[in-house]
Amino acid sequence: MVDVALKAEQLAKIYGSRRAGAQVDALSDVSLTLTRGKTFGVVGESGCGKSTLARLLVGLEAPTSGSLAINGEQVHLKAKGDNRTLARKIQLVFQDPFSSLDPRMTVQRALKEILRVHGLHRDDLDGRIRELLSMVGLAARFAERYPHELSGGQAQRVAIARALAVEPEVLVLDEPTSALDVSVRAEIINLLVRIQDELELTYLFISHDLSMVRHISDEIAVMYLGRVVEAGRYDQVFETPLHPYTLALEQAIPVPDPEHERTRKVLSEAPAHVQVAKATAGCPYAPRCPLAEPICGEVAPVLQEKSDGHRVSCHVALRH
Amino acid sequence: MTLQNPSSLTQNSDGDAQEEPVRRRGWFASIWHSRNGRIGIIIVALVLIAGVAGLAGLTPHAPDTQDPTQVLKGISVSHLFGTDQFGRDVFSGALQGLGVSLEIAFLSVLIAGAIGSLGGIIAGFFGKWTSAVIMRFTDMMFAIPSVLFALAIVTALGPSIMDSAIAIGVGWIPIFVRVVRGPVLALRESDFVRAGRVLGFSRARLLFRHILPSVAGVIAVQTSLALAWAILAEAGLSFLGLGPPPPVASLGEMVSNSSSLAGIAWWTLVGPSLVIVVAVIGFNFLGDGLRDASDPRTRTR
Repeated sequence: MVDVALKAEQLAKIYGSRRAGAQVDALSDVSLTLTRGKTFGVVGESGCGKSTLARLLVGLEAPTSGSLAINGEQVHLKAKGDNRTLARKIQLVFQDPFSSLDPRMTVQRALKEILRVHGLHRDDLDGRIRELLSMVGLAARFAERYPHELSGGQAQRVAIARALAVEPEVLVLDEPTSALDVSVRAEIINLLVRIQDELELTYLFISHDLSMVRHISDEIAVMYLGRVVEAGRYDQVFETPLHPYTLALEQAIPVPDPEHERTRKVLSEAPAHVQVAKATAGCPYAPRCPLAEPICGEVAPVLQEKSDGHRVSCHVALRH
Repeated sequence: MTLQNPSSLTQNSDGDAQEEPVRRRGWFASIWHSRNGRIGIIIVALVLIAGVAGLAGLTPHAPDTQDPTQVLKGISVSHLFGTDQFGRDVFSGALQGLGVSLEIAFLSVLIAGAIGSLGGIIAGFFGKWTSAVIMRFTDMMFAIPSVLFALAIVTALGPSIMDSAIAIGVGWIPIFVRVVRGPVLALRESDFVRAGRVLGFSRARLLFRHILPSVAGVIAVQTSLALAWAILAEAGLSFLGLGPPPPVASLGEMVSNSSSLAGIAWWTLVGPSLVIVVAVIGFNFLGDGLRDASDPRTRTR
């Protein structure tokens, strides 16, 4: 029996009013199952709905439809009001560490505030703060710093410590390294891996960078225009990619070999109208797809299991 | 980013870097640090001391004592701004007038700042409808010329210090609303406020502990500029004869009274006008200094 930490079913988010007819399906029918202690990677280009997914899961926005359960407990997702119960279960690490920290609060004050709000470690706040900082590899003296007195890597460590302060079970990492210097990216990834082992955390790792996701994920979902187009274990998705979009993403990873570089095909920009328009009848990827057949423009494919948990949403791939 | 040598790249380059201890400045020190702020602090301090002295009666001469032997005397050591047609010391009168002007200015800015800031915060933080109602109301107030508005209020309430303050303050309310609403609106959608929501903070906590401290600088700057404007506005109202009634004479009333004397005794006009100019410049400089200091990034050396 698999230990499920988070289960999202048929999450959908539609922006814009029905009346105006200018709706955007930011997310449609996304279902995810996160195994405890494992990392679930979500990849896709910008505008594919991965950040919307993050915002829905942590309660920043309410989904149009769908349900979410953490530890088997149903979570009522609402956009307004205090959600202290949800906060203890799931936390978010933002892309830009500087903008996600209050510029007027020292690290010490910011962490203390969280512990106070949740009534945690009342008897030893300072000790707990030192513990949190050492967990993310920062010396105790950093407690006195303001965010602008930190480097990017340090600030992201503080942001991680802040998320850990409430002792959540699931951590949503929304591109946690893309705003950082290349040299500190690996450090942050290693830190995240170490923390996961120590605390048995479950990660939802969101990135546009397939190579980054490949390093850290146990399972992967590839998203395109608000839908999951392919999902499975990381070796399935990477070694035998089924969806043409996944294949294109994989080919977009630079390889340090000039011979290879000359022959590789680069994915074309998505036509602008495809991104904003309400999903058409057929497959959303059809306008860019090299394998598109007449059926792709008429019937939308459904995510189906191809082999042993490896699922894909593509007429062509499912036939072969 | 901290500079790092190549060998430290594989290790934790963040926690172990050797760095200078951080030095920070307090509020006052950071205003003082900017040139404008320093000029502002000095002028405003002098203006405040002079105004309080004027109100407390600590003037070189009694402002309303008439001396028939000293009528329309020019500038001298004993009469820094000369004397008027009744032999009263203009400098002493100006000090008292400054006190009255400051009193009205502070009261009016208190009214405008409190109501306007609160309105701006509510309009920025709460939903579409609340915001729309408040903003349409301020639009309405903007549509009425503020001098006309003040005239109407003073005419309706009758001249007194409090009524002048209300008349001037109400006109500045929409400006506070606008100036405060913008940053609140931006902060509400900022990542650190979102992070607070994800961490389970209440809306009151987000508003008062995270958003309000971030707009405090904006409010302080605006307050200082509003004070400068209020002194001018009060002088304008008094010049039109709508200031507080005698025996208290504000600076504007002194200017108004002496305008007919300007041809034969220019000092009776120049003295009070000079005080107005100095006070207005002082508060403007202080506002600039506050603006420089309100950004925490500039407070670290």
